[in-house]
Amino acid sequence: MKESDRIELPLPREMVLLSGLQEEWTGKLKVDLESLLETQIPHKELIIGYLRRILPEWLNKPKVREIKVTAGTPEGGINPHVVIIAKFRDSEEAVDLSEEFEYQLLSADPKVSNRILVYSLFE
Amino acid sequence: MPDFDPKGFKLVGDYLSSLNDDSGAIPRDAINRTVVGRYYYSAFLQLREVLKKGLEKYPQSLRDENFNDFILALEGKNPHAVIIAFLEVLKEEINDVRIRQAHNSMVYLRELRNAADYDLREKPEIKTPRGSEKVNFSSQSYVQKVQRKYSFVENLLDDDGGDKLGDIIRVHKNTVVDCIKRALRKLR
Repeated sequence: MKESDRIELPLPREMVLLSGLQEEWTGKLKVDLESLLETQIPHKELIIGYLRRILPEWLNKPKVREIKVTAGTPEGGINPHVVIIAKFRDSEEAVDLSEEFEYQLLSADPKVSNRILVYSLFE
Repeated sequence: MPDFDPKGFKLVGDYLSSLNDDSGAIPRDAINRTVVGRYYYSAFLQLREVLKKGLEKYPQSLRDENFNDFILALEGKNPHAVIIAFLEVLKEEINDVRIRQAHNSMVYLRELRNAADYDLREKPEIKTPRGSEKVNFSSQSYVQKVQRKYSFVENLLDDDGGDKLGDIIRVHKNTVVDCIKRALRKLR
């Protein structure tokens, strides 16, 4: 298929809103829209909607350096997940903060939390 | 002589992480890389033992070809992937935040352990599903983080309320057999 023949489908609503959040938080929130669009994940809209609602609070925290949202299957894993890579400023409170963030992501509605993986990093 | 208890690896990790050696005789990142590996192996081996011992008690009627292949795989070439795949399937069947936390912890610990043991760069990289990210093993935050991740696995293994992984394996036999089948299907 030629590039010009490709039909541009409209982005799902929650993806549009998450993309808007990325513009609001340029440099701090990085959304890999391509991977999110091409990866089939059950209840993806629900997961993205949840992230869109909780992320602003975290992006507002000075100790959060960067949050990346992407999608894929981890090495050795079997199902694709929405993957969150959270980078925290290295400090005494950084680990507690990262645990609080991870708990919020993993203790939500199982339709959401079952397909989220979080990697916390410190720099 | 009694069998080796893999909790011993965790105790070695505790000991090493408590060292306050500022003399530089042992580089901090060498200590921290070793700590990461000890916590990961302690968690991995304890999970494997609980699975093996729990599944040993299953009746013959539930032991099909998949079941037997799974038991072999736990001792095979890549038992790490087998354990993580099992937790991944189990978390979708049993709604328990501890299983999700243990699964996430094992994925994270495994990547950190691989970087700690094999990537000799000053800033090694962990693999993520879409790339890689730098980590710094000189930072004590990674040691603390690994201890927290270990505690989530321990919480699933040693829950005081009696609702631990061993109980899940004993009570939910049909669900566990189905998880084994699904985990193996994807890994083959």
